Amino acid sequence: MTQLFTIFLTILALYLILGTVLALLSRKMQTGKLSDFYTSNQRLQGFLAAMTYAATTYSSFMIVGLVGFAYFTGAGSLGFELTYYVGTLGLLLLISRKTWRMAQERKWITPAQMIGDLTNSKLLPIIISIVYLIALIPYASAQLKAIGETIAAAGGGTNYYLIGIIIGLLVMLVWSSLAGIWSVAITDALQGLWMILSSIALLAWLILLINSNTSWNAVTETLTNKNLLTIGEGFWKLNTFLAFTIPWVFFAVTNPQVVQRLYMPKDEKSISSMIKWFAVFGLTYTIIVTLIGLIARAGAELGILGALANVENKDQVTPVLLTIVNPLLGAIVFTSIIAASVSTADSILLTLASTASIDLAPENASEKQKKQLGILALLIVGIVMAAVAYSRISYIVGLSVLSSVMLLGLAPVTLALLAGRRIDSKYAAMSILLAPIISIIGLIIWHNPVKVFVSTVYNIPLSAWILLGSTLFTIIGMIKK
Amino acid sequence: MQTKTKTIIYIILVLAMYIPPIIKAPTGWTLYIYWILISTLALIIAWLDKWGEIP
Repeated sequence: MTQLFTIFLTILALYLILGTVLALLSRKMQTGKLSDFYTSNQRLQGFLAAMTYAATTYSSFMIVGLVGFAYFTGAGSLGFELTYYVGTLGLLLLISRKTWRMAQERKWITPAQMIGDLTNSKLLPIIISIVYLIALIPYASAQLKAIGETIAAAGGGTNYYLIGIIIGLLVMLVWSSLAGIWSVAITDALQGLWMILSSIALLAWLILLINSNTSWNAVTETLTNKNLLTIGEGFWKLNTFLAFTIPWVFFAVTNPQVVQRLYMPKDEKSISSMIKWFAVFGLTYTIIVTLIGLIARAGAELGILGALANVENKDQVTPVLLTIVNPLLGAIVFTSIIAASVSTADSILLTLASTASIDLAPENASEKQKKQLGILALLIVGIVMAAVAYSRISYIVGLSVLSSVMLLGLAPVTLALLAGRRIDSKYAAMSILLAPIISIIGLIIWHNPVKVFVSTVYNIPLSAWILLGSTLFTIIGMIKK
Repeated sequence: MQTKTKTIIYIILVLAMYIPPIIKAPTGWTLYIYWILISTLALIIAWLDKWGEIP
């Protein structure tokens, strides 16, 4: 057992104990109501609301995927992630108050319920729930896969992959079922802080390393020579940039795990704090993560981080980098990858469970029966996610990337409904189903989810066509109504 | 700030993020700083303004 792996297991144990203690303590906040279990009955304070929003939004994609993207493709990765960020802030400022107020008045617990209520349709929530399952199970499974791979990369070897998935699954199930959103939000706060503080420490370590071995002019020159500080050419052509950003700009209104978080703040002040602190977290974290990727690349090219020179896969950049840094720092950042994965996956799991409780449960079911159904859904969906992650099929990560495209049709419908427009439910359904149907057709044609994600038709990304088609269906639905 | 004004500002900010890949400029750290500046503007508006709703 390597020194890094020993320290990692100790830090991981500390993180698990701390999280479980917090989750247990959070049980005091429960009232026993179904709405309390899933949405806190609108009692979440600003700081908790902000941290759960941030930790749910920012998955292990940031510290693993985005570092790798910055390392291999350069500054465009910052532009892509910050375009999502600006879009999200704009949407939050525009819809949050109205969504929060309407959720309070109309007792919404799930986003599917919200759309069903506003279109006066009983079928639409069921359709939306199925779309959520198709889109989000691969996304959450990719988080479990990341946990397995993190433990394997920290020194355990591939034998530890299954143990990682089991640990991830148990943590998600325990932390989400102990007190529902209360245990999820409180552990999210811990995990969000862990994610950002550990990334700051890693960046500081890299800066000190570069400072003591070379000049910053050499770093700039290296990155410039490798075309990593340019845009519009190489990887980040305009089409690719559009394909990556269009689905993510609307993330705040398409992904149920974040839409649901708009129902939770305690009062107007809390929702304001939620947006402000999410804004600080998102900008800081994105800049740090992309700087880590860029500086690591310069370090590798200049021979300071020689072990990185042979890395060919973007998802391997962070794990290899963490085997070079101080073992304690490496262990803390490895644990932050697990924290980022758990905080995203358990939120998705709880949201899918709420959909089972509210949108798929028989209408005459009692509140107790609905809650039992939700817990059963937690177990079933959790086990399915673990099985998908264990299969290690290469499709999983690709499908998780495609999830944002599959949910894209919800954007025009949700925005129009929240703006007070009425939509014929048949056209709303067509708008919502267009994205998964086109994505599945794309998968049949290209056999590769990433290819579907970046593919173009008449030089325009598929996501732009989907958005256009869904918007047209929404407009026709508004006219018909 | 009026909600309509805020909507227009955020649409402009999002569109501004797309200018570099369209015109293939700026380059170097200026590119990096450009995107951070636009995002910081979005953050400042979020901090200074009262949060609103769709017009």
